[in-house]
Amino acid sequence: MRRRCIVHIDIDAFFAAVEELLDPSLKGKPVIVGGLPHERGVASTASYEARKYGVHSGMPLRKAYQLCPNGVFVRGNYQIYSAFSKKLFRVLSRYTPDVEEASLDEAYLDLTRCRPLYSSFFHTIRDIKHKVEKELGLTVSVGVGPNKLLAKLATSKAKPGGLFEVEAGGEEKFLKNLGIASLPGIGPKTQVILRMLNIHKIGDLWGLPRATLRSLFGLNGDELYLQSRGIDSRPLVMTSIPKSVSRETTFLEDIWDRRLLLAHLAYLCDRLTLPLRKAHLFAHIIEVKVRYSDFKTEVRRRLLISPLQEMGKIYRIAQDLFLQLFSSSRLSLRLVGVKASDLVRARPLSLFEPYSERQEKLGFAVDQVRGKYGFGSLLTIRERMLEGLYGFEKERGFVLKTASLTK
Amino acid sequence: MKFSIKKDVILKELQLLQGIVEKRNTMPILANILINVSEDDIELIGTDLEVGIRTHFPAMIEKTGAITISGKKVFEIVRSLTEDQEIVFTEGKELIMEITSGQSEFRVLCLSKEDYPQVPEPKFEKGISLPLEKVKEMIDRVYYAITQEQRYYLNGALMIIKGNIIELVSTDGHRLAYTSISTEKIKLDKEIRGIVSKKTLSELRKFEDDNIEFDLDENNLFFRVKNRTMISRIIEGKFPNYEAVIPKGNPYILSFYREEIMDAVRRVSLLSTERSRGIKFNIEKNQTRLFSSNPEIGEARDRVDMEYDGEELEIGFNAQYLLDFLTNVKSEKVRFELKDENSAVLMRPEIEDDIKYIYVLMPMKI
Repeated sequence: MRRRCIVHIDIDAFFAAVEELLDPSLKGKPVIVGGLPHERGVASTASYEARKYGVHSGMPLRKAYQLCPNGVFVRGNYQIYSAFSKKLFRVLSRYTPDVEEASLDEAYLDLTRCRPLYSSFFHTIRDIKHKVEKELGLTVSVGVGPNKLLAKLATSKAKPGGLFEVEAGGEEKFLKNLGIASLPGIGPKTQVILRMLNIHKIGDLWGLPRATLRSLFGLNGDELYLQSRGIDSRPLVMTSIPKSVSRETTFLEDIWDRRLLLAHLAYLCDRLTLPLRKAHLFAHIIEVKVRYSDFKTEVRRRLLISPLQEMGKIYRIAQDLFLQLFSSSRLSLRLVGVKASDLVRARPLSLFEPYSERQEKLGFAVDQVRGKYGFGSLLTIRERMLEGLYGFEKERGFVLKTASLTK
Repeated sequence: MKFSIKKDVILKELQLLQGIVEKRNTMPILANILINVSEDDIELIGTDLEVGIRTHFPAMIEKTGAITISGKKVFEIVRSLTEDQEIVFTEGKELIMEITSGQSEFRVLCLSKEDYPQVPEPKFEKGISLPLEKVKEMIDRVYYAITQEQRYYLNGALMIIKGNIIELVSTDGHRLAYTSISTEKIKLDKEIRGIVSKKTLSELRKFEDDNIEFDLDENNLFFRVKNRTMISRIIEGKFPNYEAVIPKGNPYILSFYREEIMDAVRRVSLLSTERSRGIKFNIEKNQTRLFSSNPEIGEARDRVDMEYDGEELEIGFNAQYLLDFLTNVKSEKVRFELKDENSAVLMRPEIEDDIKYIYVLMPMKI
C-alpha cells in the first residue's frame, strides 16, 4: 500500500494570538481568553506566556486569575475568530480538496491524491505553512505523517511554530519515548491502570500482547495496540453534515426572571438556526439544557416526527421544554442552552400539518437582510429584552459569553 | 389439578401465548398465563391488559383446578422435552406446579389465579365472519404505516365497520394506508370506530384457518379462529381526520408497471442517505428519471418509461415509503396521482381487486 501523506496544522494559541494581532500591545503578555477574572466560566485559550504560569484551556477563570494575577483577561470575539478560521481553510483548500476541519483552528490535509501536482511534498508543506502564516499573521505548528495519528503527534512535537515530519522508517523511534498520555485513546482512567503496570511511555506498551490489552480495556485495548504502533487507518472526515448544532451561554449573574430567561433562549434559538439554514439542515431532536445555581444540570429533549429548521417553531418547542424544566425548580439559573441534533438534509412533509414555504422563505429573507445590515439589524421583541444586559453591535448582535473551539 | 397431554398439542398453544405475555416487568402476574382445567377441556389465558388470548384444547383430565404459571418458563420446559412423550401437569401443595415427562421432572413456583386479571369472554352472537386470508391481506396493507412512536393515537390502525364495509386505516404522519372490504350485511345498530393496537394486528397474522369470527363490546374487539379467541382492548384516543388528507382530483396521473418502478426505486435507494432515504423523481414526457445522492458514498440514476403528457415535475420521496406500498400492492400496474412537489400523492393499484387499497404519501423536500 502506498504511504499516505497526512498533514496536521494547528494555529498556536489561536484565540490569544488573534487578540495579540488586534492589539499589538498585548504581545509578550500572558493573555487569557474566555472572560474577565471575576466572571464565571473557563479559559478557552491561554497564550504561551500565560501557560508558563500553569494556565491552560478549560481552567476556571478564577483559578487562572489566582495563578496568573497579572494576566490580561479578554472575553473574546467569536465572529472574528471564525473569520480567521474561514481564511485558514480557504488557504488550505488551494493545495488539496482533501481537507478535514477538525476544529476552528485545526485541520488535516491529505496530499496523497495530489502527488502528481507537487514535485516535493516537503517543499509544498513548507510553502503551505509559510502562506498560512503570511496571510493570517498567526503562527502555526505543522506535523506530517503517514496517518492522522502520527501527523497530530508530530504537531505536538513541532509546537510552537515548528514543522515536524515523521519519516518513513522513523515511526518507531518517534513513538518510543512519547508519554502514553499523548495517545488519544488513553484517558485518565486508562493512564492510572497503565502506570500501575509501570507503563509510562508508548514504547513500554509494545511489550504487552494484544490479548492482554483487550482483557484490560476491551475493544479500546485493540485500538491501543494499533495506536501504540502508529497504525491508524481513519480517513479524513470531510462531510459537512455535523452531528449536532448547539448554542449555550453562562449568564454574567444567575437569572431568575422567567421573561429574561426566555429572551436568552430566543436569542440562542435564533443563533442556532442560522447554521441550520446555511447548511440546509433540519433537526429531528431539539434539546434544552439548563444549569441551576447549585450547578445541577438538566436537559430535556423532544423527538420530532417532522424535522424542523424554522426559528419560530424551534423556539416554541424549546420554550415548552424550558418551562417544563424551569417550573419544576425554584432555583435561579446560571446557564441555558439549546441543541439541535439528528440532522438531515431532506425534509419529509407532514400529512396533517400543512407545509408552508413562507416560514422557510422568511428565514432566508432574514439572513439576507442580516447579511447586508448585520445580525443585529433584525431582532424579535423578545430578543431585544437583552438590550442593556449585554454589549450590542449591529454587526454581531448581542455579545454573549465566548464560544468554544468546537465546530 | 391434574392432566396429561401430548407435547405438540400444548406447545403450539404456549407458543402463541408467548407473543402476548408481558415481557417488561411492570406487573409480575402478567408474565404468567392462567391454566384453567375444567371437566371438558383445558383453557390457557394470556394477557398484557391490552391484548389477550384464550385458547381451548382437549386433554386427559384427572382433576380440575386453576393456577397461573410463568408463560416463558412453561414454554421453555415443554419445548425442551422429548417428542411424543406424554407430559403430566400436577398442581402440588402451596402453589407449585409439577411437570413430569419420561425421566424429567420440574417443580415450578406459581401465583394464585385470584390475582389474575379478568379477561372478558365473548359470545360471538353477531355472526360476523370473514375469510381469514382476506383479513391478513388487509392487515399487511396497513401494518407498515403504523409507527412505534409514543404518539398514543397512532400506535394502531383505525377500524371502522359501517353497513357492510370494514375499513382499516393507518398513518405515521407522513403517509397513510387505507384498505376496505365489503362483506355480507352486518347487523349493527351503529357505526363502529376504534383503534386496534399494532400488537393485535401482528398476532392476528399468526392465526391460521379459513374464517375468522368477529365480535365486540364497548371496550373490546374479539376475534375467534377455531379454538382461539383474541381479545383486544380498543385504544382510546383520537385518530386524525384521515378523510381530509386523502387528495381528490390531483391533476397529474402517472401509470407505472409495478415491478419496473419498484426495481428502479430499490436500485436508486442504495445510494440515498441512510437516515432520510430520500430519492428524487423527475417526471417528464413519457419518462421518469430517478436520482439519489449521498455525499459520503456517491450518486445513482435510473429511468423508467411510462405514458405521461402532463407538466414536468420534480418531486422527492422516501424510498422506503414507496417500497412499502409497491411491495404490498398486487396489480400489474400502479397509479400515482400528483399535484405538486409539496402536496400529498395518491397511489393505488391500476385495477382494484375485492380489497380496496389506497396509499397517500407526502413528498420529501430534498
